[in-house]
Amino acid sequence: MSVWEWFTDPANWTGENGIPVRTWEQLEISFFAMAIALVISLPVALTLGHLRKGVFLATNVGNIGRAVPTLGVLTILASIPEIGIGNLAAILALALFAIPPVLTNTFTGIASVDDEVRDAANGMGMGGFAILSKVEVPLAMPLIAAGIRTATVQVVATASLAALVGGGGLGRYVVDGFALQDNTLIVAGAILTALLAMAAELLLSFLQRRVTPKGLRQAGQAEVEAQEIPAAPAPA
Amino acid sequence: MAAAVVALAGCSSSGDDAGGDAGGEEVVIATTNFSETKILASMYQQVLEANGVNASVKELTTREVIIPALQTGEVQATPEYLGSLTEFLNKEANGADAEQVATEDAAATYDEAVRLAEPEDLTLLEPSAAQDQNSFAVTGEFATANNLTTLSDLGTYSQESAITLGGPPECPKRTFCQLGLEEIYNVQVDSFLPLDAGGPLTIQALQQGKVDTGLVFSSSGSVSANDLVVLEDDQGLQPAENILPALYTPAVTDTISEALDSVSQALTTDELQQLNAAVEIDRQSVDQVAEDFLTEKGLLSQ
Amino acid sequence: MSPLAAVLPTEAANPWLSWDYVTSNSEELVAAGQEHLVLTVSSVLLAMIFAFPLALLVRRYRKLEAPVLGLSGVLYTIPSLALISLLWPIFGLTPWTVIIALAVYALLVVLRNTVVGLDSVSENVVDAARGMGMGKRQLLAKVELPLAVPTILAGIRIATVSTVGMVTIGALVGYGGFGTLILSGFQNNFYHAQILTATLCCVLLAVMFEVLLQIVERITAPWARKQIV
Repeated sequence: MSVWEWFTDPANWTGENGIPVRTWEQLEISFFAMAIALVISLPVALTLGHLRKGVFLATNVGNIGRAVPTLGVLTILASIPEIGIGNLAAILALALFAIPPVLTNTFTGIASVDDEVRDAANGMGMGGFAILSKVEVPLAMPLIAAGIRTATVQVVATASLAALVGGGGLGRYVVDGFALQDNTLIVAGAILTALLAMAAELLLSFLQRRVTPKGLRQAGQAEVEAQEIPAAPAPA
Repeated sequence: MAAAVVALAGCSSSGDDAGGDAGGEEVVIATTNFSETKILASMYQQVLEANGVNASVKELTTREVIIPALQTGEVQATPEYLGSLTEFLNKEANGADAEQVATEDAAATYDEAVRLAEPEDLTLLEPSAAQDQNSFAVTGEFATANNLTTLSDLGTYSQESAITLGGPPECPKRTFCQLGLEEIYNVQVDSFLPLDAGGPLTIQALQQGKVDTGLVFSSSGSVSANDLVVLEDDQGLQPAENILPALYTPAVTDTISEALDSVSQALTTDELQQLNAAVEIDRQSVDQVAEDFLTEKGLLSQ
Repeated sequence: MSPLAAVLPTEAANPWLSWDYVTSNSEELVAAGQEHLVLTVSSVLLAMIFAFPLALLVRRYRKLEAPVLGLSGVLYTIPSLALISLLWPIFGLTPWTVIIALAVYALLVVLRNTVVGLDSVSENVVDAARGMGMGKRQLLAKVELPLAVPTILAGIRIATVSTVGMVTIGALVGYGGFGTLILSGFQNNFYHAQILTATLCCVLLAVMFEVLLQIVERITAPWARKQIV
């Protein structure tokens, strides 16, 4: 069966192994993983960035975090009876995997807000929280958003690994295709995952532009690309 | 870089190593990452070395990866299971819907397998008495609560409440697996969860109640260790799964055949289970377990 | 001690950390480490071989920039699991299956950093060099490349460290370094010590690369310790 035939076969669009269900599972896994990653990393990075403390932690978590093999974390989590096999292990492993880019970018964005700007805000009588929320976060927004975007795209692409530990998602097609010696299925799974990751990329870069304060927009794009911590290519 | 890669590739391709001895070409023995085949591969390697044949082990994943590599001579030997291999070759030769040729009769199945293997450049040595059948297991609790001891019992039980089944992704399309359960035992399957072939995923899924019944290997050490009960195959769904060495035909020599035959002859199903338990439960090293067995049987001395 | 050990439940029979495992399997661990090292270095070198000419091409023909960077971005969204599964029928059970797949991912990082690094050389500097009578080639070799070195090296470092983590997935086709140990530990009735040791070794290898390459960066471009890593 050709890949085209596979995609046009109505049977592949229905049921629990159909494209809509598997795509939804992939999104679900990615969503929860990102939610956990944000809840953990944003408060830490905002606080540390505002206090200008923990440069070592923030940058090294970012650098070394990339090297933690997701396969290892995934199998470790799946081996813990309380977590077990399936989507939960994948969600937790992916959350861990998404923390470094968000943490590092957010910290760097906040910490590199000009001291003069902060002094000016202070002079206007703003307290620490007001400076953070009204000055630092808006100014750091391009970098923060870039970190979230990078992490999300990676998570969406990597969520395929859930299938290795008995979970669902689009990786199901790849793993099953491998077991069945069915290259059509592997290619179909790869195409669907890549499309979903690209859709996430487009959506988030649109949102990123929307949340970037107008004054920063002009310089915004090129500047962010240039100083962005280059994406960790870790769809592993 | 090229040199480094070549060096790495050298581990798997037939050895033009400087140390190549009179044993000639290196025999690379492929194995899945299951303990049992790793033990068998280690035995093959050690017994070949003891007979002056240069041999190494390459750990791979599944039959789908290993057999094609064996057919092209990328690897030269692998431990296999009679029924499963026969059906794999049958499907390769006659298409995915080919009628099943492997049966409970080991001798007849072996003849069939040899016939299918010959044109594929595969040589199958005599099967051992030791077997490791695909089996279906439930948790001890589930078996007691529903009074299950055989697969026929499971068929009856499933009429009331259809079961969830766990197994390798190919299970729903395989006669040994879901198709056979449905046809021979009239088991009503409510849903199928793709996991692995008797590996950790299936065992965890059973323990966590994610599936009622899962495909396991009867001699696996982790079956008993995890309080699972194998349901008796009372209607003979599973074919004979005797262990046999499969070889790349151009690499076969008398020395190799005789050495590997000696392992097959020494092995029994009971011993196989003990060896698996030594690795999977007592955490002894694969090579050590294999060596101890071969020494005990006197197969390492010339 | 890993902080993980405090959190994870340990059983007498199957502990997460076991020095005994390390000593009795040291040969296996060393072999896996060597394989991991060779696979990582080969992949990044292969990516560099393609990334540098591509970067020059993109700078010469600006129209190519969007398609080339876009395409490498697309390749980057293909799950490694699928890429390796697709490459093995072509390259078989050779290390190339894994090396090529990983090089594809490293390519984007190295390429993007090289282009950004070359582009970020300031106009004034370029003008000054032109004023001194430098041709395009001289400009590249004597001005742009040396100034771009920190960014390019950072790209190589990030690609290398990420590749260390990704090598593990090569276990699917028999070349995964520590990944092979992780996967077989999982298969072997959840052999905790093996899974965790192999994972930690993988991180250790990455830390070594990180430190080593940071030192190289410092030596080659001591003027350019930026705040951004």
